[in-house]
Amino acid sequence: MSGALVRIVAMALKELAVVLRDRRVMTTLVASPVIQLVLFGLATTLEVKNVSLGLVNRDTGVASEQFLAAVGATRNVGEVIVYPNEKALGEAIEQREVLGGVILPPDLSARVARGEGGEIGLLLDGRRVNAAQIVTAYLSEIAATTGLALRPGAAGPDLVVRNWYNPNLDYSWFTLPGMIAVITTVLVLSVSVQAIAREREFGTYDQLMALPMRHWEILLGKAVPAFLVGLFNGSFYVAMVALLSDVPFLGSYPLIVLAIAAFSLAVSSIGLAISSVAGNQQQAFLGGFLVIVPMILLSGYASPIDGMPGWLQPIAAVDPLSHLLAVCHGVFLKAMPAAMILDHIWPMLLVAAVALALGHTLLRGRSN
Amino acid sequence: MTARPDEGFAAMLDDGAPLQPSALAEAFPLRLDQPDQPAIAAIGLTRRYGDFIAAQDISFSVRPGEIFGLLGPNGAGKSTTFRMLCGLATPSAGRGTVAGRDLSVARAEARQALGYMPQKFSLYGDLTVAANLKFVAGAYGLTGSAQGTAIERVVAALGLGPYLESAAGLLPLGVKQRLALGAAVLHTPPVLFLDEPTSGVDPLVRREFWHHINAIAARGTAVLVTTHFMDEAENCDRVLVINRSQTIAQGTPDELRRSIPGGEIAPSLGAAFFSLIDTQRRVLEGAAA
Repeated sequence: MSGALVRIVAMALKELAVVLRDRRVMTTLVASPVIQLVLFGLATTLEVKNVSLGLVNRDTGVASEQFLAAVGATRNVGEVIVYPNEKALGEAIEQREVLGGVILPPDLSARVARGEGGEIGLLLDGRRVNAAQIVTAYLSEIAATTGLALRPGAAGPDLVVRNWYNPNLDYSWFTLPGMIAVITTVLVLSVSVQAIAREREFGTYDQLMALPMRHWEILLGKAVPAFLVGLFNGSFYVAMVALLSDVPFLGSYPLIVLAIAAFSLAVSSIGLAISSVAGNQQQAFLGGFLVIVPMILLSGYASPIDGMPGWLQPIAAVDPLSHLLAVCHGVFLKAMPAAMILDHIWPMLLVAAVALALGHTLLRGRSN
Repeated sequence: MTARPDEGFAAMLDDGAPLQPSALAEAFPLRLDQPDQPAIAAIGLTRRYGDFIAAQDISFSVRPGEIFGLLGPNGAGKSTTFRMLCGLATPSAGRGTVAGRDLSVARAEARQALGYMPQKFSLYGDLTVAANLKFVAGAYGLTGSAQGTAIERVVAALGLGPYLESAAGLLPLGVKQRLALGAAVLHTPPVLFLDEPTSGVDPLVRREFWHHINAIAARGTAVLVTTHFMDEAENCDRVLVINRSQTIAQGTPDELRRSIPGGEIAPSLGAAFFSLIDTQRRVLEGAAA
């Protein structure tokens, strides 16, 4: 073994021993991510289920009857509360008793019967933008189907929708694979960001600097524990979601593990670059926080990258999380081919190289 | 080899048992073939922090097998000088060499040639004694059986056996210092840097330390030691006195005693030390007036 390799291995083993000796670290690394994966995977859904709606019904005809029956049958709407007038409904929305209300005018059934097309009023709580939009979509669809049922042939062209890769648009098919990537990011960053800051805080940095280790050897050795944590946990979550949830796993396990490896390397390097300038663990933690929030927001996990302003999109493209997310969704839901996965792997490796070079410069700069 | 007064102060507290020959030193190769090649050289070392000069134009050299003391009050500049020579601080001017390697161009090679024992315990408190020694050995490039032999040697010589699986941070101070010394000599370096190695330990441990240090130096390793214990300074072959960032005297303890103004011989190194500092103060005040 060459000298450099011996020193890197010594550093890696020491770092692993430090990380594994700390019991709190083990809890953070193994127990909490499993809980997070289950909790967040199920909780972070944009589906609107069991919302309460208000109703002001002035129509007693067949149209309102059919419409309300259809509303009652959908699992998205839980309770329909009847109010005497618009004012009472308005107060209920104000008090957040209901998300919104449906107002059925007195001439609804009559107009539908005459073929004029009825009008249904919908009052929504704009403070809850997302839920309001989604409920609007549900109710429009119900109104359209009801109208069609009452007067066949009156409607325009039929829209036949097929959702590829996720036929029922099951939200957990989107969130669970994404959650794997997000939790891996948090873990790898929280381990790597402490690596050098811990030495500075505990006063062991001087001893380290007096040893014949080059800065790059220190960085590589210190990247190992965070890298292994990411690789191990990421691969473990993929197996867990694939085996225990109903999300289909259509792609290749080795390929997704390869992508997780590249990703862990990139995030470890980012964490080490932050750690290179941090004077203590508190600063390192704050620095990590400063990076992790934009990383998640720009990744496309919460909102699609296509919806971001043009100048932000290139930043999203260098976010390693956006690449791992694409691979996770691709491998789970549609057997993403190897060539496409490689297209996501090399940008992550590039980020790793740039971050390591930056960390090296910063570490050397601070040592003088 | 000249006899060193390593019994001196400790003999009175001693249990009387003679010390065994240092097993720690025996592993060191004999390095006395080039006595004129300086093992450590400081050439005009200067360190400025903004307007403040922490060390100004410090020059000296240490031969193989020599124990060289940096003596001075706290904040005088001896730590800064020491740190520049083991590569922990970059000089603003001047340069330093360790075992013939220039610290500014071959920093890693110079570090490979030196063993460093910091004043404050700086190994990993969460790790066991064994894990700490393994790490340092690996950092010095020792692997496999060479690593095992080196670790066994310092563990046996310094009595660390019972503590091998204990967390280093929880050890008593004397054991921590022995571990720090052990870590510094795992790779039997030609140059040893000891920053106040015996501050805070009892006289018996001090006596044991100096026993090892003397024996290691006798093999041809150059030792640079900072101290503010006068009796320890007496143990050095030569001493450099630093105060207010400047060298105020340099020589053997004997020469220092003779160097005080007035042509007298100071009764002790301590008396000489205070006289030298006082002279510098008067000269500086005279210059300012």
